[in-house]
Amino acid sequence: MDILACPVCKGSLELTVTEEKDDEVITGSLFCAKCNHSYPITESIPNLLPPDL
Amino acid sequence: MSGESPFDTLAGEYDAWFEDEGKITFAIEVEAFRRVLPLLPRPWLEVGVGSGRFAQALGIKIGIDPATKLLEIAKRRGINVFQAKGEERFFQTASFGTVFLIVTLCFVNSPVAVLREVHRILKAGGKIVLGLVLSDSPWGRFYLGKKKKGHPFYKHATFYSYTQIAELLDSTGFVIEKVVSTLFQKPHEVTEIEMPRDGLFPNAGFTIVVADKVSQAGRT
Repeated sequence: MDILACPVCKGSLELTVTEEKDDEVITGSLFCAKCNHSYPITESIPNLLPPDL
Repeated sequence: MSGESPFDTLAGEYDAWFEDEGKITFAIEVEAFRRVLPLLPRPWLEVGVGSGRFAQALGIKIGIDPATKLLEIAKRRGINVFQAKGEERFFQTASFGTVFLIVTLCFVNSPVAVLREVHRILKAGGKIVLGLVLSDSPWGRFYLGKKKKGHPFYKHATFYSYTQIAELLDSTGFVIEKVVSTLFQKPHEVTEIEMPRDGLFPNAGFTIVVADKVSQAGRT
């Protein structure tokens, strides 16, 4: 988490965990409060593609 | 590339190449990378990690790629992956010691944008490692032939000469430190493991370039 930034505004991202297994986030999201955009985490893979892709 | 790229629709076929048709070629390329690994500061990132074959073989723990299906395979290989493009600025500045792009620069839309971003996320003293099929090499000509015939992967590729790569690196704040060449056997004639050679050779099919991050202001 420390190395990640919002790809749009470079702001910090807030992690929300929906499902976790063995200390690994399975599903959840990374939320940028500045952009009001949430980047999903699915199957433990954060999707940081910009919103228009 | 979006989720509709051939790297998603043909992910299984792409990944299978490393174990059948490309098995010896892959082993030759991994052997060449091993020659430069001791030079490289950590942490390591691979941009264009694909299915994680090289990352797993070389010990790269973090990778990014836009192709969902390939990332799912890479994740199963134990790589921490992010779905993202190399041009996008989602890593904090100065996060990595080394960034690898292994047969990746040929598939990105803007090599300059990717190299600038790599420069930004590298720490001071960091290095970029490029694994390249050069356009003016026997394998480059082989893949260009596939591109012209509409190969699902290579029709999207743009191969560069060594001179073009050197210019791209220079213009984005890198100085070449080391070049390693390998894959001297011709396409369809790879039958044995080869040892890499230091330096640039026109008959090599695979070239590794290690370059140091320098400050833009510090360049001549």
